[in-house]
Amino acid sequence: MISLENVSKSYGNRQTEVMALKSVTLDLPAGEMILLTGPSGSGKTTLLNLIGGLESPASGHIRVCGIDIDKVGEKQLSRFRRRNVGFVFQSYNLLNDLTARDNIRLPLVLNGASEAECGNRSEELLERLGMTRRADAYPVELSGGEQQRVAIARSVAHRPQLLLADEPTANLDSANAASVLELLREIYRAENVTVLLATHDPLLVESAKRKVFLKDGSVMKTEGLV
Amino acid sequence: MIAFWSRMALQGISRRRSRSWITIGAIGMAVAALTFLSAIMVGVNDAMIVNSISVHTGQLLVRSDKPLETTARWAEMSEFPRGMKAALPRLSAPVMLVVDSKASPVQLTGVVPERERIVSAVPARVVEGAYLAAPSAGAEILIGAKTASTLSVKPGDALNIRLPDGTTRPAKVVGVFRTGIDRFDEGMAYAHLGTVRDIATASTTGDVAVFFETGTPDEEAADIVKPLLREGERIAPWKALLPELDQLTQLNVVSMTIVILLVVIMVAAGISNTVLVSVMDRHREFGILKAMGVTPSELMTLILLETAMICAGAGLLGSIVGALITCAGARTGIDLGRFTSENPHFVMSGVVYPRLTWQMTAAPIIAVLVAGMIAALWPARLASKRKTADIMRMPT
Ligand SMILES: Nc1ncnc2c1ncn2[C@@H]1O[C@H](COP(=O)(O)OP(=O)(O)OP(=O)(O)O)[C@@H](O)[C@H]1O
Ligand SMILES: [Mg+2]
Repeated sequence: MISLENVSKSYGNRQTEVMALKSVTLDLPAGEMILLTGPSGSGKTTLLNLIGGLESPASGHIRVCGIDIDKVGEKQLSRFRRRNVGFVFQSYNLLNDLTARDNIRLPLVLNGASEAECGNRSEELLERLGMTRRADAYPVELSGGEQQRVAIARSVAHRPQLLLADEPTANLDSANAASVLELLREIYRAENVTVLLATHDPLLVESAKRKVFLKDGSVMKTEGLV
Repeated sequence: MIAFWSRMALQGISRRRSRSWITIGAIGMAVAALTFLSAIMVGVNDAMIVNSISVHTGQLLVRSDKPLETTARWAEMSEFPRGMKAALPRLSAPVMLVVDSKASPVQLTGVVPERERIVSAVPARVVEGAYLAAPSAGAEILIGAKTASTLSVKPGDALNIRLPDGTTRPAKVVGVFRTGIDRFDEGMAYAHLGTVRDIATASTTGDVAVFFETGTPDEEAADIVKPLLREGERIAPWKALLPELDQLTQLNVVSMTIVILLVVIMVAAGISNTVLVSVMDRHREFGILKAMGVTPSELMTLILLETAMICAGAGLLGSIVGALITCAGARTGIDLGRFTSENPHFVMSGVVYPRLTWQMTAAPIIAVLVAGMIAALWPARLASKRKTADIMRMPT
């Protein structure tokens, strides 16, 4: 499903160079929920961005859903993301000009789904969020927790194979964080999607079965992965 | 897919209502001003043409090899076809006006006075005495102001018309006109058509000046006249008769086009800046879209569509406002007499009636649309090329 081979990534020029990832080799199975953890600056975001094709590696190979991410061009990367990937960032994930419902519909429309499909799927997800009544609200009218939940629904609307979530609960209070995580788990179970979740919440790390520990751009250890 | 992006663009515009309105207002104002200015320019050209052709040529002149027959036939015409205001038959002979020892050469032109009164500038330009009235027993003559001073005659005085063969006819001065054009004021004299017919020789020429409703295109005017022509008669359009006037109106169009271009370039700079600011504070939004798999070219399409819609809306609104102002101006006319009273192209009046033409109305809209797209190209490209990862790492 996801395989990285000697992947390195650096930022800045020769003087200011920072090695964000150092020769990372990883194999992540499909259909699982995998936690990515490590201290701040350890390279979690960088790793997610590389897997999602938002950035390209300095060296090494990345293969996701049968596509060689490091070899294809910008346009194919866009198409790959459109079909196979859902992103959830730390905060402000939604398009402010669209209502909650239209945000959820967007990936479906981008993938050429019919009007009926878009309608069914968005209503189904809104119901799962318990937000049917808030469907016509714009993001500014939603709380941070609601926004994050809509963002998660949107990230899986088009049934991608991969959901990349980068500290989706970091900006939320504990109650909201808990409900967002609950939703994430529920969706993971219902949708049969591979979830890669970056976090440094120790409680969350505690409870997870499969995890990858990063430090200073290197994989320290893994748990629950063969 | 273009329908989808159009919907997105529209949503973006309507969600940023006040900013969109400010942009639309600014561009619209420029378009309205250009539309009105163009209409004035068209009106000035109209006025110059009407004024100039009303002195003599009409919108077109029917020339003839048989002047006596042609002028007689056109003089008998009791009704004019649709679109035609009047047809003025004229016979012209070179003569010498003589009073005592003074003499002045003129082109004596025989006219039908009641026809001339409908459209010609000369009846309105009589400064002493009166214009020719109904034919009477003796020959009556209307002379130009310069001729009058050369001969020292005034209305009521008698003079002699000396023909090329040396014979003379007595005539009475009924009035003096002043057009401001030397060629007329000292070279022209008017009499009844019959008077000139009586003295006609081989060198007498004849033509018919034909006038149409304002704004009638030249081809249409020619089409109205063609069926009325007989053998030996042909059409000479005013553009061929007054080439300097034709050039002057073309010069006005060129000047106006340059003004439109300059204003539109300034508007384009404004649009470029607006789009740049707009895409800068929507980096997050565009980053989200790109993370969702929207390609750079789709993003560019979105930004360009937004600009196109704003420009089209502003263009439409601006030309409606411009058209309304033009209509208001056209109702009363705009008196430019202070700037035109010494101008031979404004013999009759300096009142200008602004008029909309399709070309001059469409020009600002199209120019703004094209310039807007070009202006938005660079900021749109900038936004579409920006790396998603960098955007998404930025705190909001
Ligand atoms: N655009 C950039 N330019 C320069 N250095 C960068 C850039 N992006 C990330 N880095 C550096 O790369 C390293 C890894 O960053 P990354 O964001 O992947 O860490 P992280 O594990 O996600 O941290 P956090 O938990 O704080 O989000 C850090 O040292 C960071 O400073
Ligand atoms: Mg991070």
